[in-house]
Amino acid sequence: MTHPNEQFDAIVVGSGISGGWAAKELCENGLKTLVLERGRMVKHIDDYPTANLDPWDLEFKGRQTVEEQKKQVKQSRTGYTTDAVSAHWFVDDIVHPYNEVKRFDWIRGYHVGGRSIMWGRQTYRWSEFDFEANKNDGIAVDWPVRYKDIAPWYDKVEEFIGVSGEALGLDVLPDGVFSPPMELNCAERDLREKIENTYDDGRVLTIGRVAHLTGEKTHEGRSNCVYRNRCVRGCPFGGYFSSISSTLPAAERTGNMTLRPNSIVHEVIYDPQTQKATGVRVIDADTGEKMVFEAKVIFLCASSIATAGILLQSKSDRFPNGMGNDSGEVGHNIMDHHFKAGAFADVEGFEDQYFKGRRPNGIYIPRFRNIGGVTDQPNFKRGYGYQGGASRGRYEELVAELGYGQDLKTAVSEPGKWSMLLMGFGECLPYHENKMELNYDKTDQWGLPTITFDAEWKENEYEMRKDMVQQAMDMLEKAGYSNIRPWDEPGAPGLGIHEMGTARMGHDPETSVCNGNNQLHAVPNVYCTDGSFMTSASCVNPSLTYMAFTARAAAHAVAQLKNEA
Amino acid sequence: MDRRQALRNIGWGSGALVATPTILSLLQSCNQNPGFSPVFLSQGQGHALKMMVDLMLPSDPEVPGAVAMGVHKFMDLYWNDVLVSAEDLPALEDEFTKVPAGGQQKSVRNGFTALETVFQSQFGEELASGESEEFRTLLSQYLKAPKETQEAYSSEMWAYQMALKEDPNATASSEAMTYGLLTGIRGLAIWAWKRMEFIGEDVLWYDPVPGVYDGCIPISEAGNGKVMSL
Repeated sequence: MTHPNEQFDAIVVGSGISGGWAAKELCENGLKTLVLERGRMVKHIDDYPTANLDPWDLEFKGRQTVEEQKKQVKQSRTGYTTDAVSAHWFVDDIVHPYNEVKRFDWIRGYHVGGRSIMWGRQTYRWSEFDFEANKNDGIAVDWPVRYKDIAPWYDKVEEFIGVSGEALGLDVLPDGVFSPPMELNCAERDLREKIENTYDDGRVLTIGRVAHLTGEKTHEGRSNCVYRNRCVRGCPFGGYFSSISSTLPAAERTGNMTLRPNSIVHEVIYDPQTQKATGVRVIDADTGEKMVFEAKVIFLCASSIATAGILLQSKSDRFPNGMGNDSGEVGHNIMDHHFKAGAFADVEGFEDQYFKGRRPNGIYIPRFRNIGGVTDQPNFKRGYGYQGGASRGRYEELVAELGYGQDLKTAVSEPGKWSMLLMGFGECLPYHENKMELNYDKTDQWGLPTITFDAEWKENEYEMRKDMVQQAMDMLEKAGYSNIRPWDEPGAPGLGIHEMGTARMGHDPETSVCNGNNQLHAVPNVYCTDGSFMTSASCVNPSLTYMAFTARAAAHAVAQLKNEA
Repeated sequence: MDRRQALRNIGWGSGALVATPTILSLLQSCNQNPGFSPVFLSQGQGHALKMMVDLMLPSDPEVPGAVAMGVHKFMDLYWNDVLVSAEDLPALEDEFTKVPAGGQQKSVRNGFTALETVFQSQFGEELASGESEEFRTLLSQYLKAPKETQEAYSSEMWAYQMALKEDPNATASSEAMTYGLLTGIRGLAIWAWKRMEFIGEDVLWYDPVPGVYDGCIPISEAGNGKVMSL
């Protein structure tokens, strides 16, 4: 076992959306910080090999060959992650296996930057409704944090990453620090107006809030979005936020960061004398060499599932069931967002209008259910928002009508019919029995236990989905659109790639894993700031919230260290 | 000379929007001979595919069609390398990930077998001897059939796909299978044709770095009637 001589103040496990923020904040506050990433090294711009490829530059216009498909059977369940332009960002399922009691789509990227390179970039604040939800519903445990506690950290994160969006003044979706919103297209403007004139329950259609640069403000090393919509490949313009374009370079500039890729952290080491963690055990992914790195404070930002996996592997006399697991909640309460429920419609007219640019963003209809008065629903708790939008490109009827020949060829060279999609993204409740466990019988090539999932959607999610379909159809019908087609494909948890909740926050160490500062109740120098700390899921995309809590936790850790010094 | 090399030799930049007839005939001549030796399909099936995609997306004096762009060759390779064969199934399926029974290649092969049957009974010959006019008759019969007929074929194919999940030996009529094959070929041919370099860069609206997003502008200022290629 190697004990590198270098001493660190802080260790950050993971370099994605949360790890990048931990690294930046800790380094900028003067802590010598080691960032450990299990995957390969990736550099902004240099390592985006597909960024400028057109369909004709790719052997099968972007489809994977069967031989390539065999390595990503689970990663391909999304339907888009394993296209040739982005397959290299997603893991090889043969090298990185997992097990399913029930289906769980665990979609991962092992490289510096993690999934911040391929994320959906939708960026929303939580509201007081979200932080109070568990308490009001008597479900799971209460959040030890309220909106006012996190609001300044949302400000800080938004300022730095750059968020484009429209301020609406809604309680259910607080406004943030926005650069100019992207435009709605013609059909979306039409629907916005019709929704406004039809409903009196406060629902409104706006443009998605996204972590793309659109304004005048400078963000070091990045430029404004150029509307190529090739974000998933990595953006050479730095048009959207990722940790490798933004937070990690900021950490690097301080001179305090050491970044070590190919470093699989599998255990946090506990010292019973001090009742604190002293460091982490690492296996070098390439050489198999085993190492220990030591530091005063440890940030687990490995993603919800991996962070819980590390805690569960960190067994000691004090923690026979895994570090910080006195409550038995580590690995439980897995949540994701359920989606793929809504409706499609054709939009007649606007044939002489089109758009320029490929907007990497869609529309958003903020939650309008269960927020009081007429909005309250008898059949389900919580709510959902709609994403989606309008585009041109529907040819089905035209192709069927024309059959074949010159007219068909001309028709498919034209923009096609307008169509609209409204797709709900719904909140999933925290259920103790939705869980992941370690499987020591099936180990990976490094001899580490694999993960077994046992989680499912339940009645509240299924009841909510009925409303997601009905309300989408209702809005499209009332807008006068045609050929309205319902859509409901529940799939399984994981597909939203928003897995969270495996080391939840709470007031009580007997029922939760972390406290309100993201510290393990029982080991105060270990912080969990990826999706693992989430006590409930809200219905909005979670990354902004992970970043804000990470920045807040880092400030807390810095203050603690200064007090101790 | 392949088409791409031909374009380079001509020094044709991506600024040219319309191909002149002379250049087009040069491009087409690159593709007409020497024949087409399919790797996935039989020679006769390959002949039928080429004839049919040529009728579906024909060349005109300004815009090369599917055969001129090599779409038939692309489709044959695509079916061979991208679609899942019966032997591949164990590596591509688990309890929660399902591929159509017998693999995706099998459904294309079944379609061509049905086409051979239909062609034989209608024209009394093998696909390999089929003339363009015979394939035109066939396409008219299926792809321009009355809406109700097409819907009936679609429903039969849907029921067949569902039945396949339970019973790998499920069958459908040769007519419905032929309809399924022809619509499948048409869909893939359109998809591939729009993604050929010349079509994508010089026929459709190629706008690799838009720089802005204008959400609602007259079509005359946005591609001038052509769809965005990317």
